[in-house]
Amino acid sequence: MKYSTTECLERLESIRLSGERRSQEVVEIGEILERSNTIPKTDEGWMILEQIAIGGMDTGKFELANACIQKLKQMFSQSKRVRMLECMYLEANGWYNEALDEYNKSLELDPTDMNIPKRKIAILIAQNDISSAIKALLQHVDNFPNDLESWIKLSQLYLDEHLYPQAAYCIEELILMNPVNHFYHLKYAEIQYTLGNIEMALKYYLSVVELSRDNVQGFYGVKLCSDRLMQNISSSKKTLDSARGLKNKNTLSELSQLATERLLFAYSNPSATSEKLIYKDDKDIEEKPTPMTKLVLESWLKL
Amino acid sequence: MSHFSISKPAYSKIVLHSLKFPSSSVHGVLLGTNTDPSTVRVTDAVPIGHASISTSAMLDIALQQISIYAQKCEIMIVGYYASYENINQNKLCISVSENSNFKNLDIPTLNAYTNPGSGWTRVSDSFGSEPPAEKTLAKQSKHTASCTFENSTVIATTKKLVQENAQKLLHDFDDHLGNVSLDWLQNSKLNNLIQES
Repeated sequence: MKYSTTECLERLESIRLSGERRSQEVVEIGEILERSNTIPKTDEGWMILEQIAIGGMDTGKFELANACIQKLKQMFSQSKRVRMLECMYLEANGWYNEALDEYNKSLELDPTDMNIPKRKIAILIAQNDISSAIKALLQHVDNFPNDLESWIKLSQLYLDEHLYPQAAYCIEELILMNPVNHFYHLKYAEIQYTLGNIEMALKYYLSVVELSRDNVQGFYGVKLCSDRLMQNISSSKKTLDSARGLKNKNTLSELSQLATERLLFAYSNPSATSEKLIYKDDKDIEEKPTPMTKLVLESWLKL
Repeated sequence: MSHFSISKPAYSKIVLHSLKFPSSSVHGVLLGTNTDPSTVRVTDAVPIGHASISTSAMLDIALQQISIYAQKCEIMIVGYYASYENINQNKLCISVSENSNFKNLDIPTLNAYTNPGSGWTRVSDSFGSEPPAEKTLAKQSKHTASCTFENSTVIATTKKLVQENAQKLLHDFDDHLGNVSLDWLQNSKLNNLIQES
């Protein structure tokens, strides 16, 4: 990769803004900047050093990470944020006990710090002690109930342990805090489907497609659930409650049809429906679905 | 003793898939042929997901679409692979069907193998195909699998692809849901690169 310094800085900034974890790329660019010694000594420069340090730790480029941390340390010798990076460096090298000691010392100085308990939980996860991590994270969301990130992590840990009702509970909390974020509704629908609550899953997939425009995953979910519910109705002889809401066969078939239409639309107009990421590698992205993907979709939709 | 052979596209796709999402667990299925019950030829891999491998809605759709695709290409789904987020867990787990027909899948036909570094051994607990009391060393040794690569260039090619950051070309079903123009079933662009390497 050959980029000018300005291009490098722009790319790093767009990655920071989009919040994507593109450590590989951050490191590639970081190495260019480090070698030419062109990281500006400005507020942006300090942020870039932090970004490259974290990217380096994520990809095992410890020398690069350490060089960045040392530069930051020279500048901000008393900073909590730099101290945190130093501890993360210990973690990345697998020196968990040393990192824990440092975190505990920092906590004694400032017991209200919200990030240190999270690092301690990250160590438990890295050591594969998931039940302790869940316990600690439960305590943490009790102390900081508005910490969305931690609720998401907790639900992930529950999912990894196949504790679906508990994972669903975490997502319920997130939906209550942020009722218009379709991502949470999507997650909730997925979990309910896995639990076998197809009707509940359908309701949440429907709110996904209501809250976002032409959401492919949402419509896939609507199609999957409505078709399955229709099958259930046809296979069971009970028709008594068939007039009720979503169990009505006509409603279900209309929903299935709607999803079919929207999916076909999405596959014919991919640019109108693809996720809008702030940062995008245009050169790697094809413009149209391949004939095979479309063929498979059409036969999946049973056209 | 069962035997499976892994082709260049299959192996490199598995490796590139786990490399593309180093901070997530990834999974997908293996396609191939299974003419002789003791030999499975794995010819290709289809990457399914990285966002959450423990919920089943999008997995159901992916599996339904893959079986349609496999029918069209006249190959079979012969197995499953998963690579976990945590490096302390089994690094890579491959399950292959030892019975001739994966379609009539019931639990005992699917056997999981993992390679902790010393060779492929069967994972006895997770798929519950054997009561724990029967697990003696002698019995376990019967369940080691021999895994070979289709030819000698598989590892070298995969290494080369890794160095070239070829994982950027690989897309799974989760990627496809975000942008339907991404080719998750065949990964044609990556296939071309694999052919050239």
